[in-house]
Amino acid sequence: MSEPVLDIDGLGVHFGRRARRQALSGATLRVAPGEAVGIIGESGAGKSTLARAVLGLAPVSAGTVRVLGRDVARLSRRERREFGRSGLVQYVFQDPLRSLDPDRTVEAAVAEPLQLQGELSRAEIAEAVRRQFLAVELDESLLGRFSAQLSGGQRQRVAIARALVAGPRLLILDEPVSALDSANRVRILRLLQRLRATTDVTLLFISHDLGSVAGITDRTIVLYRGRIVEDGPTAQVVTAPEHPYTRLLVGSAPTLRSGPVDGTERARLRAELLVP
Amino acid sequence: MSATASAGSVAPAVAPAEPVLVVENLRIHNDLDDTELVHGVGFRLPRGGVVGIVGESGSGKSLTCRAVLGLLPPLLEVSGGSVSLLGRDTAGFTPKEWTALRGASIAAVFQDPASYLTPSVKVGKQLQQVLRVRGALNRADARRRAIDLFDAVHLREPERVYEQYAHELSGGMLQRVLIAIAISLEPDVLIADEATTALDATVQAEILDLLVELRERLGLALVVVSHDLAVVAQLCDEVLVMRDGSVVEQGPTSRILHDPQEEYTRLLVAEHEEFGLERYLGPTAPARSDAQEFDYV
Repeated sequence: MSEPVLDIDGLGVHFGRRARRQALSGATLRVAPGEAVGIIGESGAGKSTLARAVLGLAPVSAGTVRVLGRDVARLSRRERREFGRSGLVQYVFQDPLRSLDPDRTVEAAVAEPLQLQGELSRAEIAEAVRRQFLAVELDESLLGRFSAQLSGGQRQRVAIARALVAGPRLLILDEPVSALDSANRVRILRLLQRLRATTDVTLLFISHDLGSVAGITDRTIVLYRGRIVEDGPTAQVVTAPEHPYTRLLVGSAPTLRSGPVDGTERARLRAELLVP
Repeated sequence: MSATASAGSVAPAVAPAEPVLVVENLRIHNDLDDTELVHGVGFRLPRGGVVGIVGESGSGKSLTCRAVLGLLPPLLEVSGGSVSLLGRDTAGFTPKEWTALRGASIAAVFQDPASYLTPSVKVGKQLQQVLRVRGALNRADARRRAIDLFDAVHLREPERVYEQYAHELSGGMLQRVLIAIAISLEPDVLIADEATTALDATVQAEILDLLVELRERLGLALVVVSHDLAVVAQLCDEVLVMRDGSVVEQGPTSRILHDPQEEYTRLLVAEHEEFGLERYLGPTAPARSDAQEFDYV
């Protein structure tokens, strides 16, 4: 088996004064190259903390986080800067309006990771940006626009283009489609599907909604109150969930199959979750 | 539960067979740039019935709701068609008549509950004020009734919630508070416009469960507006699919799900089947076969 892209072992993260608030505990997780993994949980379950730990931005209090073989919690400042510039790990946020610099053209935003890498000439960068634009189905004519001049769907595709342009090995997508309408959601999901078919990039999808990304992940991890309570093939998690919270999640996801709402099963699961 | 009994005892203002809300060929016009924004929307909502409106931002679904509530923004006006509430045509209603009607006959909850509450007044007090001013209850009775209503929307520890401020409550709790306020004057129609959109998946399901319960218990008729076809499909007898101000497709939920006629509706269904849980659970199941016989109360 090839070396895992992500190897998390017994990870604990604490926040607050004297690290009293436990955001994540005992998280163990290995992700192989090319896997697409959904990380699902409610607000406060620890999803974003897990993502921040992968980026080396969380105060790790126990365990290790190895990304592409590097122990990211214990990098020196210089190593961290080099790792950041390598562009091997990229992050796409839910709201691209806030993650893209409003004062720069989207062309400049997409070019930045390549400039940081410092391997290509100006002309090569311009060409790579143009190609990446086309790959995410954006028209070349939009290159000179500012992010505020684009629609939400276009902006999210710019954010994805920026994340992909430097050839990452690991792409973390934090609620990538939650803010989009259905046509744009389908477009982004198709684009990511194509990306999976043509590269071996590893994808981590963070979402509160199992249904929104279930279709393009082959594995799903469910976080509940800072712990991984479920980890398995998405098909199995959806059809045979084990933990009560996962069962509640599956039962709560609106699907076209669900008949008139029958809340009794959900009420039973909620009661079960209240018992420690 | 006292709230259940008192809220459920409201006598129907119209005969059960008569629809509580009828929208016919509704058109909304923007006087500022002389354009039409909504091009003819119509539906009939029976007592205790549920109509769903699905569409993206800009489809006209929220404008339709605002017209029904008599709350169109300045310079927008109903330029055609009609809205009748409890058998009365709302055209030509004075602001005073609308004020009397809103809350008592028709109420609404929206996407961002925190922005509809005053941050510096305890949430219980805000409901108590509604009950005193509009429900003509005295201070003590209004407080008791407010706590009963909080209990009816399944807020745990209603007395404690009564004393809390909006910022102390979660999004799901705030939406319950708003629903309690919305049903406090025992309206016939409740409009839920993206009321669960900003909530976590499991909390969304809790709120949807609550709406269904209120419908069954109080005979409340619902207009459920969402960008997600599945949310609407779970609750509604009839669905309108809107795009760019027009109704693309309209019909019984099961027909819309199993036999969509329009490409846009097919896209909405296909999205779920390709990327949602349906992919693993199988395509749209015959789980709703019973809905065919739904007799509209």
